[in-house]
Amino acid sequence: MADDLRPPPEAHDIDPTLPGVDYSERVSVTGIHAAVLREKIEPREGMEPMPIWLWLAVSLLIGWGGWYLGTFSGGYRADNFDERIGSAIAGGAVAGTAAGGTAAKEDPAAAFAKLGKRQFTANCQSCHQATGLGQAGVYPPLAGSEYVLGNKKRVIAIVLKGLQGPFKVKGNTYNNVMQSWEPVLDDKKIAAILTYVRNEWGNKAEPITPEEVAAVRAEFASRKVAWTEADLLAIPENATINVAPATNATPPAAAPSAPTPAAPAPPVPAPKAPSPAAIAPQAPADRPYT
Amino acid sequence: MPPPTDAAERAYIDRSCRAPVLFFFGSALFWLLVGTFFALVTSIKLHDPEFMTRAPLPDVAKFQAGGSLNANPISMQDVGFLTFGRFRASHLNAVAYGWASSAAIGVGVWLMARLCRVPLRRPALVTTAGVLWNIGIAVGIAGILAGQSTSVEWLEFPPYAALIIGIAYAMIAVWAVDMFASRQCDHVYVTLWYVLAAFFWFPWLYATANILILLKPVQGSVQAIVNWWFGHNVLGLWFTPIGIGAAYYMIPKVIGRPIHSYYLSAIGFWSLALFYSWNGGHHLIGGPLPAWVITASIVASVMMVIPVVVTAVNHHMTMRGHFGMLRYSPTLRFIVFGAMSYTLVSLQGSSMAIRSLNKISHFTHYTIGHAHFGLYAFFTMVMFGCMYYIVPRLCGCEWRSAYLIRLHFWAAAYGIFFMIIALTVGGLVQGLMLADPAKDFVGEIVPMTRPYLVGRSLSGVLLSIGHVVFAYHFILMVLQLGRREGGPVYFNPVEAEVRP
Repeated sequence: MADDLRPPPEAHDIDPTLPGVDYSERVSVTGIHAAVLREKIEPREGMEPMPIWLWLAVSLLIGWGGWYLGTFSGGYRADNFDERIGSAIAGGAVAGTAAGGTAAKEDPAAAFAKLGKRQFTANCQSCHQATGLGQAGVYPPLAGSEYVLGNKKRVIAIVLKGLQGPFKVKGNTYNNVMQSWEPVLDDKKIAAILTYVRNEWGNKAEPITPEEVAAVRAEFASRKVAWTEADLLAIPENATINVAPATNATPPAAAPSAPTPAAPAPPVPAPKAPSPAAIAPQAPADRPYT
Repeated sequence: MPPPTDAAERAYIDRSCRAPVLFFFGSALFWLLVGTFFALVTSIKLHDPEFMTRAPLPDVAKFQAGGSLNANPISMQDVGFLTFGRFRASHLNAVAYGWASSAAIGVGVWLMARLCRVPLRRPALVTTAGVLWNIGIAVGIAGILAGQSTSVEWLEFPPYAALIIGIAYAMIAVWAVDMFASRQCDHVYVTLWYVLAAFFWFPWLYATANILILLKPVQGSVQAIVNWWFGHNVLGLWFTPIGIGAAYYMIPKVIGRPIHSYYLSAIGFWSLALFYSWNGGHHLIGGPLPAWVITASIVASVMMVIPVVVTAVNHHMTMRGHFGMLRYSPTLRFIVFGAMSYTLVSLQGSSMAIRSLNKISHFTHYTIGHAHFGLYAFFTMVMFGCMYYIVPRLCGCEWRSAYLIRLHFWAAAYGIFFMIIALTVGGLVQGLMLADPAKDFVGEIVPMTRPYLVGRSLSGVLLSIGHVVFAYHFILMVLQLGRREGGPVYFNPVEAEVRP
């Protein structure tokens, strides 16, 4: 067989003085083939059957795969991004499943406080400083500030829209600009930051909820410029915030598993006087997404 | 003892492979050294970010004399090519396409010729493809360093370099089909399935990904799916089949007994082909993709346990009773190290696709540890083992020194072991801290990773020593400075004499 395969001899095979690289011809012929001669035969295949335990293991794996695919495929919908929702349904209403299960493990209040501190560090600290004292003449203090401790609506409005100086805080005037955080931070983060700021550095004031931020955000939705001192003071000192619970419920998972037709209600005007029942079960503004 | 005609046939086949295969091995080792350099610098930059781009210290005397303190500022425009972003991409591409792929082509070409039992056909085509391939990588890395990276992971090469590489690879694929069509063997051995499939899969992957992401981009998050479909398939449908195929050849070849079971080989091959191409989506867990896409890819990732365990059982049953040979055969030791790593890294990979673990491990050094586990502890070690077997047959002389091989093996083995430990442990701690909102990113998490990253750099130094030693040994072989008598190089010649 090998004879058939031999290529025709090349020039330097016949006359070693001709150019051409042929390393192995320098030594004895047995030397060339030493590595090849000592080789064991080319690999072949045995015909042992597949062990039973392996068949079993493979079957179990495939079974698990089918179960997992069926359970966590979100109904194979192109618009469903959460594997924990809606595998049992085919189109139509998306039922919430086990949504609260993972969230319940951590104390929500503690998580909210941590969120506030973190978001303050990330967004506010570079100007207002970790001490909350700001920088004299440039950035106003938050510690003991009459706006931080004062009316909720005003302080939420400041964070949402930003400020345009000159602006007087604790007797000092600051002629500077604060940016608008409306497009950057969501309701929950703003509420967490404000709650943190209102209870740090010796401050003591009522916490602020995401629902309140949402309400203020909606109220001033049309305002596109930062507050001046005069504009802001136009908001009365004792202004209250009308929280409209229905609009806060973020889409699918907030709905309990029982079909509540009201849940995904579009912008229906909120009832003027919220019934206690509507406020009591605090609608989860969002769920941790993994 | 095999019949002498077979030995003569193998000698002819090996000789026909000499130039192209040595060219691929040589350029692979060149890019391995280049990639190692990029890797070391990148790794050091992770714990010393200003390394190589440090601004000169301010001239205090000049300042006191009234000059500017920052008279000699360093401009990122001048040193952009020395920054982390470009070096990391250069490292990845140098080792993935330069080292691993060149080595894979070299080994694949030799295996095909051996298993088809025909002398290498169209050697000029293979060599030309090799030259083009190297040009493509050189151009691509220069492009990345010049700031023209596409910023798509695993496809950083600018399109003009990708085109050269694509053409080079297409030539190899055509050659592979030609070789297979003219085979003289009466039975297609399992290695040949893997090698042929890999030579077919890679150009398909590479072309598809380049077209759908760079040439005629698909919309939005579909690009991300294509990106990771490609990124994971480079590993799964290109490196893995070559690595496993090589192990399927070398293990029975060196120990001289048949592979345990044809059925296991077949199930392993087809389940790999079926499941691997779905795996990429697990890189996008938590990303903006329909839940079922991610879930399907998680299931496929876990199903990868099937080919992995089947292959591991097949290899293990073949090796059974012959593990003693690991004490003296360099080839077998590298290959078995790689094959065992394949089992471990694949099982680790399947577990990392599960949502609850991925939540911790994703976007941490744990993933980087996994990547090096796969591409180094498995694939690179298998390639080293193959080279220790193939190069003497191509050069006609024996490896010069068992000491150098031993040094290479232990530098590589300890280096990659410590690197995996450092990245895995560091990554787990990092992932757990990242999941805790109370932990401060800059103040706590980043400093925590520092010692692990320093450890990784040190293990990288060990790997580099191994690479330099091996490259030196390889050059000696190519220069015909190897030994000409005294038989094969064994770690432990006395034991090799005792055992059959």
